[in-house]
Amino acid sequence: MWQILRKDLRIEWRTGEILSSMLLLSILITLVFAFTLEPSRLRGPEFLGGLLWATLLFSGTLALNRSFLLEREAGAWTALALCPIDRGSIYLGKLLANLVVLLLGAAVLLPLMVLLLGTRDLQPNLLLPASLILGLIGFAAIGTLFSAMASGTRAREVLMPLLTFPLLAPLLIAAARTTTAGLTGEPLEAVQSWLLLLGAFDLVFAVAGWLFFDYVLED
Amino acid sequence: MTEIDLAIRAEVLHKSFGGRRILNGLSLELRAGECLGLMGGNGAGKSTLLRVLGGTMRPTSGKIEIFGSTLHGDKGVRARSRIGFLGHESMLYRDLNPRENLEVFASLYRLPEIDIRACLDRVGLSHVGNRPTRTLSRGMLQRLALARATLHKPSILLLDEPFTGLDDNGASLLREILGEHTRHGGATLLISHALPEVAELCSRGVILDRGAFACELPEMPGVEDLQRVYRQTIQGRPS
Repeated sequence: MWQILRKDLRIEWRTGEILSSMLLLSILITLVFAFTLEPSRLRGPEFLGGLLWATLLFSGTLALNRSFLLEREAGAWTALALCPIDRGSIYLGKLLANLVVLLLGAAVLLPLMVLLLGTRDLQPNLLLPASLILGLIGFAAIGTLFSAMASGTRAREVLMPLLTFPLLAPLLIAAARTTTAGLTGEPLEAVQSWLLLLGAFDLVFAVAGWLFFDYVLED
Repeated sequence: MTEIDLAIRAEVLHKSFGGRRILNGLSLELRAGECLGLMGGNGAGKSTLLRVLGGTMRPTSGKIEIFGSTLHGDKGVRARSRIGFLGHESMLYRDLNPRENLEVFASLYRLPEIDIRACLDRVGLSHVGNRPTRTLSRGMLQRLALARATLHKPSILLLDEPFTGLDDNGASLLREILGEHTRHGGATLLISHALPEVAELCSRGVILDRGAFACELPEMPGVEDLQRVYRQTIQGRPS
């Protein structure tokens, strides 16, 4: 698992392909929001959580799609399948690498959105990092599994969102709600059930990916 | 013959893609110290068979054992550790250099003590060890792929057109590695369209046609006889 994580991060550090494309798309989406929505509505922190997750959904899908293309190029996927290791650990390594990239993207994107949208009256608390981490774990868990499944198909760019978006809907609602709570300074009690939902979602899909990756890898 | 001598035992393998049969009930045994030449026209199912035997593709039905251990699924970890696979593609990361590529696979094969420099030296690539893999020539990539495939000193080598892209020196090096592998009791399954190579390197052969063995050669004949048998088998089939 750690070898896969280290390898993916080393390649990303060297090429910057995934993070740069993710950030570029995020900035474009944010600018579209900034120019098309009523400025007075954007200044309140209530909208930022939803806008942040909508942006992360599109740019993150782009990033996750790219993750397994790296393995498909020159057939490294086959070499991984040949390795005498638990194949679930390959999935967990890829998931962690994708999570690191998504977290880095979110860490850059959030202040950038605040700046570009001119958001005021923020009262961030610990719910903000908690919601981002839990939400992105679930996003990476589903995205990594379906990116692997779609990577061997011709229509992968279309297939990946088609497969993942319906599954991600409950996660996005819970993540946007808790992120907004984290930005507006709401207490933990107000969003406790949403946080539990996020945790359960993460656990279910990470375990499912770990269990089924063996079948995905042997195509 | 004991179970230990039997490097590969495949029983009644079937593989279909969307209703199209690629492998049609193949059974195969490969003993330790043996080199089996797998021949056949384009689309005969050779590469699919190799991938199924390597554990990277699940057969639709059938059973495979590697030195008595099951191959597919998570129970196949032990079996996979004994296989070295060289396919059409280099199976390497283009954004890592050759040294880093071998380091990644050495760690995945749990070989902490391995001397990567010596591995690169063996295939004549130590001078490009720090160059991005994407800048290597086709022949250099094939040499590096050979180093990757033999990094863990596998007991079984599955080779799909391994001479592709290699210059004379590279081809000699590959022959040397294969000879050494066989002398040490390793088993080899070699796919090649170059019949002289098959006749030179393999102790027996099979000709695959439409997913089934059309001809089995328990002893490898000379090149001319092999070419004649091959032509008769492939051209003599009903269209």
